[in-house]
Amino acid sequence: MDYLGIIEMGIIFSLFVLGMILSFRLLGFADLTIEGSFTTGGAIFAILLSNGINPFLSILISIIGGGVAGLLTASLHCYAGINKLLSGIITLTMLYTANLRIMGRSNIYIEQTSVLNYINEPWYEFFVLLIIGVAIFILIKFFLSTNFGLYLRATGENESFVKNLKSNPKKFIIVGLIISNSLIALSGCLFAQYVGYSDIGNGNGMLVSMLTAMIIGENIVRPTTLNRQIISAIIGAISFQLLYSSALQLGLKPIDLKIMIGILLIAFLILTKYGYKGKQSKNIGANFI
Amino acid sequence: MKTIKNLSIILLAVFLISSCNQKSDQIRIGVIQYANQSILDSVYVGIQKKFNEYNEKYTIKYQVAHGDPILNATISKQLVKDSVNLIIALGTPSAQAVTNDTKTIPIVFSAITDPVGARLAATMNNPGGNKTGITNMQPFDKQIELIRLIKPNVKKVGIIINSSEANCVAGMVYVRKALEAFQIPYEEMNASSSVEIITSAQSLATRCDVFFISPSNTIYENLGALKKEAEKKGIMVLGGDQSAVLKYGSVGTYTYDFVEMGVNTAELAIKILDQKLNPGNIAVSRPANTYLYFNMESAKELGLTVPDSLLNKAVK
Repeated sequence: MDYLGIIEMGIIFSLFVLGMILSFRLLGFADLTIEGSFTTGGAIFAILLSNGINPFLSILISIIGGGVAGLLTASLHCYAGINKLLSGIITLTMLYTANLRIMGRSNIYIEQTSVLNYINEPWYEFFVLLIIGVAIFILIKFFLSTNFGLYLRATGENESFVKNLKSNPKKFIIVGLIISNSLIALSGCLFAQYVGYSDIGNGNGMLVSMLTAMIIGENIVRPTTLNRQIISAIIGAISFQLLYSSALQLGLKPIDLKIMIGILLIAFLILTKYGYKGKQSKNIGANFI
Repeated sequence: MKTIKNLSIILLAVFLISSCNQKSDQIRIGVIQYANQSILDSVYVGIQKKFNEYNEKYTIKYQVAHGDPILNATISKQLVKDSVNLIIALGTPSAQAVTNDTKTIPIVFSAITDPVGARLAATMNNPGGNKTGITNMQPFDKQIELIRLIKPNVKKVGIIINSSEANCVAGMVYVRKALEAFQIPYEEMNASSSVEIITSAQSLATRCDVFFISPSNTIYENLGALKKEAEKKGIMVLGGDQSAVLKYGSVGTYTYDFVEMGVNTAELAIKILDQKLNPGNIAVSRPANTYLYFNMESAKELGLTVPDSLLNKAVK
């Protein structure tokens, strides 16, 4: 089995899961934008790179692109007063057109050398992904440990508490969603580089897959502290990819894979409910999933 | 402790699974297919048919990604990791993923509408790298010619397209060229969902007397709806693949036989393996034969007479 590949994909998806934890868990905001911003990240990167823009700059702009999508969803919710789920759906719908307009077509093959294939060796790719992953995780860890981050986390658990402290929860929702979607766009941008193409369908089914990864991670590492919550993203993403690959390796037909994931999810959810009876309240973050 | 326990259970499961691997000395062909779409499925039937003739010499590892990008990447990486002798890729994203993952294992792609646009081939004559294949760009010029032959006094052709599909955009270039060559006026409308297709069809029906089926998957999935709208106004539907004519009442079309395309794909793969050819030097080809299909019921309903000279050429 391709263990290196599994870890590499795991690192890419762990950024997605981390973004998801920020919005779903810490902010208590079921943000559906993420499926769109994943595609946006890859789309912006692919079109910029194929027009000869510096790869690092392309990555940066694709991260910003994801952030803008997050800003839109957050603004729709905070200022237009639209329901959380609905504002995510609205942005997701609009992103479909936006992504097509960005790419100018539905599929771009990335043939230029970029950050991940600068040196054509397997270890190099792994090394770069590892550095990016570690750097992002440390950055997010420090951000969430600041005063601002503390308020942000409080917003998800108890919004009125934040209001009582004379702080505006909207501020934290907006910043939180911007960061969350930027992370997911980065994940999408790395994924596009890793598989070598950006396609309008790249975000298809990502939400459910990564939700599975998040829940698997949270069941292995119980997220009782911030550090554990962050680490659960890595463990979850890698375990998910490991299970995916090993199921294929076992000879399970891909057509049966989805039902396996469903069964797995049920098993893990039941495990959460009964396996840790009595300790439930210790988990941090919003508990609506 | 719980953490370690859970983690170790997963790891144990994974090791048990991975130890079940078997190896054999047959020639191993990996087939990766992006989605269960009727054309791709037919191509695979052909591939299987050809390889089955060489009983036991080849073993096929067939995986479908079901349009899931993670699965597509995982399957592709795994085929490369397993170092199969040759990879056959059906569908553009799958072909791109494999091309990205290996520069050494020969790749034969098939049913790719626009290999140059998808950067799978540098040029049609000289794809370069470790890949070549077969394109399914339909014989649009022949299909458009059919409009002139069946309905010489055509007023305007309505075409519903989906500009988000690369295949459709690439194919429409040829369609427009053919329409202009035969001096047939046309109008295009964009639709990306079944609802939009019905709205566009209703709108086009007021101005057009022929619907031409564009090479868009969205249209193919909604041919029934398109036909229904056309029937209301007595509009002729033309073009598409074999099933569009036989099942969905398109009056007629020229098309490939996709099972035969699969056989051609397998033959190309076998040729590369047997003669140890460099795929990059083999030109991207089209299936050799085109077949003419008619749906006489549809023609009768519309009061059209199909010239005998054409009917004699038709397969059905």
